[in-house]
Amino acid sequence: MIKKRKPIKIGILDFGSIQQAVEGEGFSVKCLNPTKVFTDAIKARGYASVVYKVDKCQMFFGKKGASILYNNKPIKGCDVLIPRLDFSVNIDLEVSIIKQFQLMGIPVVNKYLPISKAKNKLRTLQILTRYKIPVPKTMIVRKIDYLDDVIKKIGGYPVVIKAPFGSYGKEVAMLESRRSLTSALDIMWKQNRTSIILIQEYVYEAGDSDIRVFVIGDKVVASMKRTARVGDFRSNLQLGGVASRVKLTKEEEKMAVKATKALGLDVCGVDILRSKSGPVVMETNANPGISGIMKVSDVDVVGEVIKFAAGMAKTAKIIK
Amino acid sequence: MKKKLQIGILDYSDLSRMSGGLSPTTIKEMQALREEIKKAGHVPVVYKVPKCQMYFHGRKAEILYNNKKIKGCDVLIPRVAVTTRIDLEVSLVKQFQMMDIPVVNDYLSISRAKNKLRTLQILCNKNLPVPRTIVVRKFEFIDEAIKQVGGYPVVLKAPFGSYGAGVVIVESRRSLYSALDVIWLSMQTNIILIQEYVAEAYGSDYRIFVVGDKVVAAMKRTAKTGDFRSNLHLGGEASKVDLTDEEKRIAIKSTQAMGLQMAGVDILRSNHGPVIMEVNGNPGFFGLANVTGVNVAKHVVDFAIEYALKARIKNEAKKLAAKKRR
Repeated sequence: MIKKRKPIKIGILDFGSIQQAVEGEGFSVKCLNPTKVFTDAIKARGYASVVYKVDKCQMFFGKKGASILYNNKPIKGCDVLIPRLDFSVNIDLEVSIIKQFQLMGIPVVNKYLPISKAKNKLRTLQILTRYKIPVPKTMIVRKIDYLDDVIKKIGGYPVVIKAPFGSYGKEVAMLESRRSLTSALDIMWKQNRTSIILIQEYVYEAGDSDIRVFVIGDKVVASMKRTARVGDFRSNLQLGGVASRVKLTKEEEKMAVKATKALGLDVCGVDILRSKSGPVVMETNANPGISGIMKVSDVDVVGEVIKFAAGMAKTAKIIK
Repeated sequence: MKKKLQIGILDYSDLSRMSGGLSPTTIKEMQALREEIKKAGHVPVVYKVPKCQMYFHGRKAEILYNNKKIKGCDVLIPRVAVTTRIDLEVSLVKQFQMMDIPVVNDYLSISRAKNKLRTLQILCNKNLPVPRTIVVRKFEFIDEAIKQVGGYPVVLKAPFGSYGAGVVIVESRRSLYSALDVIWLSMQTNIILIQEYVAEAYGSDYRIFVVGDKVVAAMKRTAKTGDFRSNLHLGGEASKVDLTDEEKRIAIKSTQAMGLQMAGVDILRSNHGPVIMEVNGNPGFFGLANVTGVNVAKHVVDFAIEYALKARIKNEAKKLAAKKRR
């Protein structure tokens, strides 16, 4: 008798409720429910899906080691896990739950350590420069004693200031003069519980556009150009940026894959600016948005992620 | 004549002062380190964190100090006296490492030790004994969680924080919610550790200072009457103590498991043997030195010197090999 083989079970680790809890109503990103998009696509491919809500996960440590309880019962594992996390506070703590899945021997896309690296803008810059990937001129300061000199090093006004965490273009501002900068810095310093601020060159020739490159494994699967709406310089789609098709150069493709690898990510949204000295990497995103890029590029990005995850599950099974 | 070593101390105390969390002994410990470095015939170099700027341009990463290119050192001892935004704050340590400066302790092990969840994961994974702990973020199954760790009294802990802040003991169900509220509100996280209360430890714990693979000093700390937290900052009393071999072994093993070169390991004597409460990657030593009479700063400095010399030999061997290849 031939036993029917069990389908691969793909888990989604859903951090959604956490985001609501910590970020409140101050900033809501209106887009389709990514968890549902994923589970539908998983089923459509004949795999089984399971959703883990993070607030129902309890980590347990005792004599028998580390385990996870879900709804207060021992968690049912899966063959591969895709964490979807959309938040930016207490990252090192929040992502520990991903490590707990890894400790259970479950393959994860993306893994704990690369996610925490990518969420930390300072670490990201360190890693990119270490791998000789060009980044915009950036200075990380916590005092304004040498402000004029810093600005000179960066290349003069306008400059961009950023909080060391935050996404969707939040806590990013472009400033065109000294008096505008000092007043903005004061606000940033007061608001954030950190005194760390990134001051970055404004890549003027990029024309308030950037290129989002979606990398899976060692391949570019999709890309788009994002242009800020009139009257803004931030190209994030959540802030009204407009997406359009774009053809990448070989160099840009190579750079995006290299950046993904440098951080150790399996799935990554790399943001590139076209500067006059060539492409520079602005950011690597471990939890890249899906709806915008799918619409513009006509690529089934979710399907590609699932294909990749299923492949990882199969490899892990063979090794076992 | 032997060349003097430049021994760097990365001083975070200005940051903790700004956030109001500066421990009164931090400054004294810095002084002790500086003095021991001088006594050993080397040069202390203090880097104040607010004066460090990280500079990235093109494909390069550097550090500016007082707006000039930083002068490096032969080994760096970071004193990371911060408890918030840790992943960001310790990135600076990594930037020193990227300049090929040996660091005691390094970036990754400090950030692990500051994260109580990662610490538990690592200790458990290495089969080291920890108190029964459950990490929750919802009230739904809280009664079961408390049963699982052995019933009341239980200890509630915020996932970060030191010096005994963010730790509450709860005696009964009716005080539970109010205590949880206090932590949730003050700590800006909804992650809570619920931990068994080891009653048989009688409010005492053991602080073991490990440097390299040796225990250099240890003390027993007992909470003052009316408290259960034995931290000296909170009025706990300390005395000298003899450790069992098992306790020493566990302290050294947990330091190594975390990847730390020096650590303050806190253990409790439970009725099923020692359990590890915490592994501190930035251990204070002022109280410990007073109680035990051990010159802890000297041990730390000696270790750093040895570490720097080893790194230097390694580097020279590397350079030689590169030359030969050419």
